[in-house]
Amino acid sequence: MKTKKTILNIVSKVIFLSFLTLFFVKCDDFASDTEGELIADNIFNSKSAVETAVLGVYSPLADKLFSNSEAYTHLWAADDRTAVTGSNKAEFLEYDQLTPLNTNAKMERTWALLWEMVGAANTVIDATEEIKEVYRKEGDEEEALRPLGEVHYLRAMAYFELVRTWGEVPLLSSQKDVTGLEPLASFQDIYSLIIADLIFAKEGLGNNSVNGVYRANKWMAQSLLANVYLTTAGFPLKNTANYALAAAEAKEVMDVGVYSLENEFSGVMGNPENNLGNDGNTEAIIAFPANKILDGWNAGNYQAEAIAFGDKTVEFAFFNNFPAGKRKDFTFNTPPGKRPKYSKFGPAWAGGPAFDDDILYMRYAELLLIYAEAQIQATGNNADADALAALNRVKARAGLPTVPSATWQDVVWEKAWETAGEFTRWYDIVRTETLDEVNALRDAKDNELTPLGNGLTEANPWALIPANDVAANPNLAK
Amino acid sequence: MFRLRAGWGQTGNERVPSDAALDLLRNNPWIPNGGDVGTPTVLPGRRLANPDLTWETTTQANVGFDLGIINNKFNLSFEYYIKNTEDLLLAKTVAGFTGKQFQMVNAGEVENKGIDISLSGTPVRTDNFSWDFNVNFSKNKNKVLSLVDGLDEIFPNIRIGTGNDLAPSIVKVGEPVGSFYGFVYEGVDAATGNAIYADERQIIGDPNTDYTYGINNTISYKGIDLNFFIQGVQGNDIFNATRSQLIGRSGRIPFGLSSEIRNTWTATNTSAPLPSLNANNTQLLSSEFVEDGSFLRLKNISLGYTLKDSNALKSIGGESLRFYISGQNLITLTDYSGIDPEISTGSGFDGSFNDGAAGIDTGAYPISKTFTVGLNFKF
Repeated sequence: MKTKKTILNIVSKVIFLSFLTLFFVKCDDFASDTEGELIADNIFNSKSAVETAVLGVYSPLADKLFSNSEAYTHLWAADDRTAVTGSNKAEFLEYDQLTPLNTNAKMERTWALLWEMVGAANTVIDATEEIKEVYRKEGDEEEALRPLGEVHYLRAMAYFELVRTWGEVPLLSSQKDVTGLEPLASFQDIYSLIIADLIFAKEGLGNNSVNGVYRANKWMAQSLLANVYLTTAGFPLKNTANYALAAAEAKEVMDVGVYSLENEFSGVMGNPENNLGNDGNTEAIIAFPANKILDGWNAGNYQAEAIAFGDKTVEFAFFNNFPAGKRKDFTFNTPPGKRPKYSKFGPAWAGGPAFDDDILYMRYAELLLIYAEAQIQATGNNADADALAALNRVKARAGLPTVPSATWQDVVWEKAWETAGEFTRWYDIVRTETLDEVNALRDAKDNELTPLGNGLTEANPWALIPANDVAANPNLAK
Repeated sequence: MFRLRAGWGQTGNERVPSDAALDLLRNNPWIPNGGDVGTPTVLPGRRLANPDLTWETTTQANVGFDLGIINNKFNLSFEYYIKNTEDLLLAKTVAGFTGKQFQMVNAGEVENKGIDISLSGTPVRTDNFSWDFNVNFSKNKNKVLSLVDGLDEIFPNIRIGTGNDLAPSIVKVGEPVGSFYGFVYEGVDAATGNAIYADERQIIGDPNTDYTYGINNTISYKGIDLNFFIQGVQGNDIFNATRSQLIGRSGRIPFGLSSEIRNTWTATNTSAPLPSLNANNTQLLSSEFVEDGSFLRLKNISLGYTLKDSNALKSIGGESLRFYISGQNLITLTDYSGIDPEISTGSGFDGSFNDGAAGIDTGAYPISKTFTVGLNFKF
């Protein structure tokens, strides 16, 4: 008995001493860990590792970046959006009333998420040679152009959102040697990178998405490029030669016949049966899946909830001028005695069906209108047959009479009605320099509820770079 | 009795994770085919690496004495200390355009100076009556002496509430750690209903106390005993983020829940204390939500009666019987408008430790009032 105790005693002492030793070893380890050897290095050592990193670049898209209630409050500056006044709506109302503050927390989150995407994309692009090497060893180096194409496409998308929203921003094309003190880049330089990325993407990507219907393919890159060309043809760059380029890119996607308009609006949106994941949509070009895998307030698609919360409603003038017909009936409901509400995003409340809906970033209807506008601008012909065919397909689906000719302004208004409450209206107002014109149309009730200030103007329509970033990098002050 | 004490020592900070220097990858599942099951992904983490990160060192020197007064009937204890923390470890907010959110840094040098005094004793002790007490008093002054790279201020990366909003905390040279920084709220513009703020952001509060104290008394008379403990905290500010949510300014609660909202500015109520619900310039991080957090609390009171040496007890084999009632947190005197001035604090993003997050009310479960009735039977 006694011997056993003594042995136990010795054993416990040894264990105790080992712990002491371990503790000191741990200290040494920590000291050497801080010498700058980053865990993030050397992750691209197999095809599957590359694949995981490419998916990582998509993943910030799921963090409520495009699900309305939580982010992107600058889109409220347009006429298709306003918020109910009161309660916690100040972050929307700031932009709705054109008096934004650089402390808007929602915009700070949006900013940070887009830059997370840029950072993730750059990290992959920085390893381009390693990735090609992996593909060469495991088969075909050319195959590497597909994952690299996806990442270039995603970086272009993030920068396109950044530059259309905040105007001139820093331009990081690599995460190596980022100092945090980078200057603002010019519109020209930012758009050059976006266009180069999308050309790289459309050349590297195949006709079909690989390993996931929500992942990039050639047509997605090309449709986005069409919109980028259209945007650069307008304010502020005004490279009007790009109208023809926009029309050409859009036409290629149209001619390939992969996408078509749904016959009824109910087949486009407002129901999870329409999701790409359910093979339910011929019209969705770029869509993001509702991120139901996150917990609580980070999960799902909040486009319908944003309407129920009163975050997103429609300005009276926009509603009143909206052409009557089945599209208007699908887009809004008008409870008697109350202001009209968007109904196109489906019924609200977490757990309801709309919660599972895809978030539609670009639909074929929008591409048709991008084409129509670019073609009319490029040819100077308001009766261009191809442009009108595209415009009239959208009008016919909406139950409206077709037209023999149209100005580019007509097309932009058609897009306002067609994509009301989606992601394009504010950017169309900015690039066509029509903010004053649109504001002049406001209803007396709009001006009474949300009177306009002059923080954002036609000449300076840019969202404010978050205060914390300007504090950390004075070069960002505009 | 008189005893003199002095001490000196150096310690680190064990609340910092050992990987704090590193830029670690993170997994952010995504659903490339939709559905409910995430596919793991890998992308850069939100923490910027810091190859130069080193240990935090706190050097503390203290002197004090213990003194027995009137034949040790009373004991007085006094201590003065200076704590100097070098290479203070903090998560610093970095510019979002770098793709990162924060970096662990050796932020600088912080000094704490203070005194602790306690007096205890038994003023009366007779066969039937006794009175014991203990009074203590602490005062601490905290000041940032210097920051790295000649910086004047650092914003620690502390997120509060459900909205992932930055906390108002700042670490600024010459100011206490975790001072509140934001807009100075100057009321409501009677003409428009918008909020009025001073132009520049500045220090709007200090979560550190001027002093704290406690008073503990035990009085017994024959079998009856009474004990009460009073706790006090003076001079600290609280950032009442819970109120900003309740009046609907922040968070994802669709509408505010507080009846305060009834008294907001309208065209017919231009002297209301709260800005219009239509106001488009309200700021979350403003002095509107900074309040005095001082309080005095009756932390514990108990009254008991003990029965001893009773024949009736002995007949059933008992030695003593004590009956008591006690209550915790029965009375709190405070001007703080929140539920409980004894609030818990925010935490760093990604669970990272942060020193600068004191004094932010994010709606932690309040300390409850408790009543206890008890019986002790010894045999």
